[in-house]
Amino acid sequence: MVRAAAVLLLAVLALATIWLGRQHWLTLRGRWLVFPIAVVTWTLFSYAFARNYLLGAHSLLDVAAAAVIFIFMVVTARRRSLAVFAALFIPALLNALVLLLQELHLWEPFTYTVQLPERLRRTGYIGNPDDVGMYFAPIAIAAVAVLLSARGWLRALATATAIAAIAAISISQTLTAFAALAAGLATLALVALRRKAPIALAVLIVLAGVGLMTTPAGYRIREMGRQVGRGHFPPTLAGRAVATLTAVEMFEDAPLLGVGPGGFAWEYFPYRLKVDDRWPELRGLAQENFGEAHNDHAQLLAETGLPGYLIFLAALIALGAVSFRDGGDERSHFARLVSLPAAVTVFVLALALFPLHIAAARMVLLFIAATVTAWRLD
Amino acid sequence: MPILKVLASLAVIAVAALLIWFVSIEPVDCSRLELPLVEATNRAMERNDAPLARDTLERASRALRRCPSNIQLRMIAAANLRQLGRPADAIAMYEQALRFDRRPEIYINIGQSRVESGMRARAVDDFVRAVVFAPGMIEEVSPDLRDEVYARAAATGRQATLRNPRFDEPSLRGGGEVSGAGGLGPSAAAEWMISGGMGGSVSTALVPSTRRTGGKMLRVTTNGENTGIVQSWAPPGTGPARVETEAWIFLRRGMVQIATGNSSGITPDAYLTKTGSWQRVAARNGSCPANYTVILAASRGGAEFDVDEVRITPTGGPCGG
Repeated sequence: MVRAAAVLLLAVLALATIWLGRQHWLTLRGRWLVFPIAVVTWTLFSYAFARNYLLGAHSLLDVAAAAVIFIFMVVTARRRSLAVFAALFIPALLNALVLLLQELHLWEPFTYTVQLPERLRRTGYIGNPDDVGMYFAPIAIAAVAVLLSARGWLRALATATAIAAIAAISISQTLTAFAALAAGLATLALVALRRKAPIALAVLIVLAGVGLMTTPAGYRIREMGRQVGRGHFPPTLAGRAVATLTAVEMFEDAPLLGVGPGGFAWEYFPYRLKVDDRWPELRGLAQENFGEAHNDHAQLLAETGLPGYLIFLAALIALGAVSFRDGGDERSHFARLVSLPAAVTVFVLALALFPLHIAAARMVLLFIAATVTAWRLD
Repeated sequence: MPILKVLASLAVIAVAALLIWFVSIEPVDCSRLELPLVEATNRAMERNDAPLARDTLERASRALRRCPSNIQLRMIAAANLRQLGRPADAIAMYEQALRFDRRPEIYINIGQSRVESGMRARAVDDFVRAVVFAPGMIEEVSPDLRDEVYARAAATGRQATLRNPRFDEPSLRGGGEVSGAGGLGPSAAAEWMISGGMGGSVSTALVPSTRRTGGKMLRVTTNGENTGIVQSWAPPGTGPARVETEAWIFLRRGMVQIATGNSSGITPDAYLTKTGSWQRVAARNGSCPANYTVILAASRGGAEFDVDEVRITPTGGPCGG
């Protein structure tokens, strides 16, 4: 559907140009274009050396579609108010409602032909519970930023969306989404506090340190850190660690160009065997064929090499940097509030999930990045 | 000019419609076909229904012409080819599937098709490829080939073994105590857990070894049977088939058993009853494969013992040996 949307947008643009001539509002200019162009160019270059062209073509189409949609979102957002977020929040509210009905066993839109654990049936219209977490975490951050920036009905809608998104993440029980949400909200609080932020940050660090040293959860985190330090993998991380380590093996093998877009799933089998050899205790732990590394940092490194990953990091930094500008009207105030928290949320989500590879989550991230890009100069 | 605009618009609409059809609608359409075709394939297999298999094969092949990279459709087509007694064609279909994805189940299916074609030696190669990647798939291998496949798969690459076997690394928490049936908690030594077994309490302490100068040993005190220390050092169902477990134990009170095997069904390998001196206890595993090691009290009132060093050595041979 994302690809269809991109084709549709390009067709509309072509038709508008045929009938109305060149549109002033569609003039594409500015440094922000560097990122979509860099992403598409490097993906194309990496594709030229891909190890499976057919699978790579699918990824290439997805990247191109995302770039087209992002550019359209930026140019259309320029002429829109914060109310444009209703387009993001209303579907989110509907999805949260479906999730709630599923959780309460009141309504189930899908028929399952196989036995699935209860948690895996919490899907909304998005996908599995991890997809739900990846979708709602950035929406929750955007909703909180809108409610701090807008007034009237939009503030009410944003408040409802923030509550619904946090409830949806709770229903999904996706730990990484919880962590990303917590990191994003803490960052948002720091951005909102402005001059008092260093004090708040110091308090946060002290609290985190005390929690790490004194609580059972802190002990588990320290023990996991120590096990990793000794070259072992804690059982709670080990399943996904196999997929991530496999991506790292691929990156070590092809650090500059990667194995090509979409190449992770294709190369998983031979590289997983290398991981088994390097980490025998993980042998047989994850017996299925992973299609994603469950870590977008590692997967980007594996598929597009170091340059591809650096483009991703640079885009996150450029997004986050908007929080250090001064805001004027409510749109730029929103852009300042949301940009760094959104970047932090994406960074954390990508540590143990794959938001860049799930259409629903990717569209939310593109939406937020596009509005920030469009409004940052106000 | 308006005619040109109309023509250009029509061209744009046509190209867009075609693109949307190819990149979006057709792949979804093929995916929607998968479930009914899987159900039809299962029915054809259960009832040994050749006409249904032929019809399902035809539908899958038609869909494959539109969606050549759809693996599931290839698997469906190949399964129906096997059902129709055409294993050679099924192998070709599976090999085409391998151009798009290298899943272990494809290698298993190729192996099974080769067995059906009488190519047993080549089938073993395919089975080994699958079982090295997914040890649980040994269950899918023809029973008469399992031992050979298991032995070859186990000989590939490095195997896991015990961690912290000499108790050099202390646990972050120090020696805690675990009480009650099924209780499990960290011991005083890293990587080793204490197990409450069927009931009772267990405590551990990491102290200087009385057997090796400068080394450390784990002191274990329990008051219930089947309580003591355990370590899961490889995932259940994986690990070497045959190993020898060797442990240095100083028994102060009671009786102790050692065992290594599969965590879901471990059985005692050896007992120690002699108290008051360091004893080397060694035994081969009864439960297979080896991924879990325990040293537990084997007497009703529990036991008190020191463990200085535990070693696991693969000895080769299949599970049934």
